[in-house]
Amino acid sequence: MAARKRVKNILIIGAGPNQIGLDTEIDSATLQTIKELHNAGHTIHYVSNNANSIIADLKEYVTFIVSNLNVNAIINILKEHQIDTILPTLGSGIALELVDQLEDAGILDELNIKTIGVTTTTIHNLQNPELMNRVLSHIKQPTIPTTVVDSNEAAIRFVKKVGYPVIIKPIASLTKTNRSRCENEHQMIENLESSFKVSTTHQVAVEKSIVGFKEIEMVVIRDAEGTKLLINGAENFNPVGVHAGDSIIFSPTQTLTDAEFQALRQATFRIAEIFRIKGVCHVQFALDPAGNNYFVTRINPFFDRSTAFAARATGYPVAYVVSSILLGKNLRDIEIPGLKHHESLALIEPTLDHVAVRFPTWSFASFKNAEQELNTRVKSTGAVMAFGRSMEEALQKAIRSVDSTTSAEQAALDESRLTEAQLINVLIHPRAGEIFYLLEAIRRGYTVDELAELTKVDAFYFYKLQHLVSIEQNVRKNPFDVDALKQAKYFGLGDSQLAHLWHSHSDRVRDFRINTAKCLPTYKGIEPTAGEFPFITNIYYSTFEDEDELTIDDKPKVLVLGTANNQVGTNSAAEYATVQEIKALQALNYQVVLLNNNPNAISLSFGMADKVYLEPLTIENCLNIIEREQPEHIIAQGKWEIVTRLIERGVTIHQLPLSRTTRSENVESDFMLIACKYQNQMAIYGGVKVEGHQLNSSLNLNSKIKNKLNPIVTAELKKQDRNGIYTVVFKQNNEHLTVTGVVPLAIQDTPYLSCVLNRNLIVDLVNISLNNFKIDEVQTQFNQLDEPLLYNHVYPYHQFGLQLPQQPPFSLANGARVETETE
Amino acid sequence: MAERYLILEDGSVFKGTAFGSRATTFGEVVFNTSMTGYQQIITNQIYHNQIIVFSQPTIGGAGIERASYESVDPTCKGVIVRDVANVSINRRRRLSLDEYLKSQNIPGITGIDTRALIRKLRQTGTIKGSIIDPVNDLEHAFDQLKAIVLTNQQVNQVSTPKPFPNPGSGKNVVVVDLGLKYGILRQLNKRNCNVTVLPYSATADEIFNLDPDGVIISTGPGNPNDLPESLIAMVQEVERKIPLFAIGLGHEVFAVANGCEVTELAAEHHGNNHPILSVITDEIMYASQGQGYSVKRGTVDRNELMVTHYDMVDGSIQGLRHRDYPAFSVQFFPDSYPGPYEVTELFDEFSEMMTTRGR
Repeated sequence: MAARKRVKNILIIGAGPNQIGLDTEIDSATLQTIKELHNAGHTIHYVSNNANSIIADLKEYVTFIVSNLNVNAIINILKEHQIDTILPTLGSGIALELVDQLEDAGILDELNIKTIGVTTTTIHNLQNPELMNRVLSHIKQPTIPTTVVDSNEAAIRFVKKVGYPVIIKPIASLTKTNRSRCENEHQMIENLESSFKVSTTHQVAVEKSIVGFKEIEMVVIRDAEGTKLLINGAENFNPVGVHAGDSIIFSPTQTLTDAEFQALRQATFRIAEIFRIKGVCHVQFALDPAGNNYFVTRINPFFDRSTAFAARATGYPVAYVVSSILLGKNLRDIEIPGLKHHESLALIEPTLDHVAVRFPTWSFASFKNAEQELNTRVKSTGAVMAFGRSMEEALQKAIRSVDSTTSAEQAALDESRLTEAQLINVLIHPRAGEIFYLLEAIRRGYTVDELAELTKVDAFYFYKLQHLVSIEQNVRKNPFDVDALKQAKYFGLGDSQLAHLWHSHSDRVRDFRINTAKCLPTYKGIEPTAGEFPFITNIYYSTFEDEDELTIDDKPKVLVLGTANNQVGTNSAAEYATVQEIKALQALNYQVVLLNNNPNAISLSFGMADKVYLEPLTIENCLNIIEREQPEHIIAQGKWEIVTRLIERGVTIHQLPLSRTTRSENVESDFMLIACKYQNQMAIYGGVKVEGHQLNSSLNLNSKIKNKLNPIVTAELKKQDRNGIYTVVFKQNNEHLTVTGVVPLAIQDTPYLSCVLNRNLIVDLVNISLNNFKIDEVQTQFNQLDEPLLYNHVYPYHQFGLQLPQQPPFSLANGARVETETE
Repeated sequence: MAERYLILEDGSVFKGTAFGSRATTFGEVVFNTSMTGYQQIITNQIYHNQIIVFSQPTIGGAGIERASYESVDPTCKGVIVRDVANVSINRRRRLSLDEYLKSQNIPGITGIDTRALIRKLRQTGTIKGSIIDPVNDLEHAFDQLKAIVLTNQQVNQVSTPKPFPNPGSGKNVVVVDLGLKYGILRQLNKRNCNVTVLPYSATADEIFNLDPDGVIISTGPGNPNDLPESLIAMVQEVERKIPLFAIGLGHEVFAVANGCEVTELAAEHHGNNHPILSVITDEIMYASQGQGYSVKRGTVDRNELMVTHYDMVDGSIQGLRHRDYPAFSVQFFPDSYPGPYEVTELFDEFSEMMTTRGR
């Protein structure tokens, strides 16, 4: 017990900049973990090169180390900061890989460093597929059968055991060869022939094909004494073949029998046990829809997309419980907030009385040349989530969430114009926005059986889609009919969708719904006991049922409109800004009510906002919530469609003067200043050097230049009609300065600039917006950092298989990297 | 899409839509928080006299499949859901939930705010309810509901009238049927036991005549205190001589036979998400639970019995073991179906006990 009390010097290895497949899902868990570890008295360091990391802002809890994530850099950090413990479960696969390399190089032994959460043996076993399979076969957990053959006969013998279809791939091929799928012996022999030819070793790998299997995600928590708790089981809409990050995912599982579910649960427990997990583990399975067998396809002993979804879908405080385990507590001794007495046991397995859905969003509108077909490489740039009391309702709300943010997929698609051949092609080869094609197929009369056969998606979903189409038809046939409206609302259709079907305006539908049909939303709590216990929750979703659980007190409130899914351009910086807004408003003693629906959102973290609506960001929902909550202020980040349309409807919104596009990117410039304007006063925070596309915190201006700045900036900002923070971009020619642009602060630069200026710019923006700002406190300072920080955008071109253009527009970046000059 | 009402003893009315049978039904309304296994739950005989509310909103998504019956004749009085999925084809689905309930004459009602209902039941405790056709005169319907007296002879109604075998080539086990859940037979079958199922009226002598290696007192519906004295006497006699494993209602009977009091719970508990502590191994496990009664703490004679399992949420006694005889019992369902597999090991324990005694 004494050892547990020892104060540790912990290094948390982060995952690096956001990119496709890596949203802000880990940051939320990281934030909570750091707070818990700090409260327990440990010293914490966090290393990352993610410029948008919210962790950089937690100075009172953690030392933020900017560094590239490579083994040499980590070794230096370990030595310099005398680290004795590494926490590798908050840095995706990247952190595991680094720890494995450190262990291989003997560094951990040499420096006497321990890992917590997951052992180095487990990491090593999981880094190597062969070792992993060996461990799994030891506990009788099946992995995808695979072998290497050097003759047709050997291949046939293998397939006799595992059955068709199989996938074959030449070993050590000189040419770039695709994997080929073989349905029968004839096909296989044909493919083997060509594969043997291109293999320099005359060898071919043969693997059982599991395309079409159901993909199931299980999340388990295990403690040091081996107690295990299943947090969530989620089911992918798309079968194996489409990356889980590109598939719609439902929780609870919708089509599994109890026997199937329990078999996967037991497998998950055995895996958590054999790998000695102390914390959270996500296990992915491929389940044969035709039989009782399954394969283990992924083991992630760290926080990831699925653990984040598990936490949001169930309302269970995953990160809080896992940090308690890291601190040496066992599950039986952990209590979760929200419940009383023995009912507060962290050990109560979450059970749901709602349907939660995670719905991927893509940015193909901005990347028209990218391959849009969905396959095993993830392509979505973000996601939304929605809750409902039926699968139809949850799905409709998710679709509407997309509609309100990145409507590109749907907007680009006029389903009714598709030719039959185009439609069938999408049914067989799913692409972004697949759900809209499936709905269209049902409208055209495809049967459940045909669709299930073509898509390999479980028939259950087509029954549900069919139901939605029949509701849609009923609505069409009965304009402004109370019963048709009530049925449509009950199954999740939005006012805007009804307006579309009735060729009317959503305001008219809203008026009819409220005043004629008296059909109002009711709000239900999101909590992990399905109503069995009186759980005190502050997270709500809407539905149209009898009971409304919402309580509204009369404390002064601010409604913060979140930014929904991560999009290219504003990217994860928007989430950073939302979190800062919440903190700034709470510091002003406001109760913060947040509306957001990004499953990876940091702002949705347990204990962040005072009240959360996990709802689509639509006009309808905003108005509903505003009417109920009567907030004193409403805050949104900058100007965007919903904000504009709400203002048109007479809602007063403080739009934080943030540019959702970008600073002027196409002008040649040398440096930029960050300055604010408030009630006719101006002040300069400081500046950064502009080096092409890169920003550099080291800006050396001689005193002559410095003296010129104030008058120029004052003159420029005078021209701006709004209070706010601006970036003033300069071109410098010896001592001659030209202003090449003045633009409001861009969201994506804010985390970096706040860091290098040592000033929380979002807090200032909130205060400016609420007329609460003290501009006199702004001090002009240059070069505040000991070591200059460089800032670069991260683009998804490479992940789309596209060439990076010479001058990629900032508005297409989906993350940002920060590094020191020495790197 | 016929409209139907769910009315409760406390005067509340929930409007919904019919599925399954259109009969009028009466029963105690109890909620179940399991997320999978609706077919096993509906067919479990413990729900005799009861109307089941599912907290999981969509029920029916896996259809009805042949391997998931817990009894051939389900005796629950009704099913209440938010949303019923009418899935009937493909894969193992021979039958939809709706068709199945129709064939069994069990009424269902969908479109109910089940979360509101469960939050209400949490406060009222188990109360009577009725699923009826819409009527203008609700007062009459409430009068009927109040007047209805539910039978306390449930075991008599669900227990097999005649013995039947479930042959195997291993250990000889007698199962005394109080409303048997087939999961118990499946677990015995997996261990190759040669099983004889006897009616609940079986006497100790009838059991001894079969010379079994072990006896199981099965799950079943209702109040253990309403059961005949002869059943208690049988258990008292058998436990001295033959390894005995009592489950669910059987556990309650075993407790009464050994001097404990069994009392009604304020609110019934049905689900599989409560942690259960095994006192002997200090391990925590999960199991399918379904109970309206519980062994009263403080009435366990510690010289006779030891408590082996606790529900860590409500502290209720979940398992007992006799100190002198080879006899033990659990309140939860160790056969799973539905529910977690980790507790099925108790059948191995029973097997070992039979082996040890047989030597």
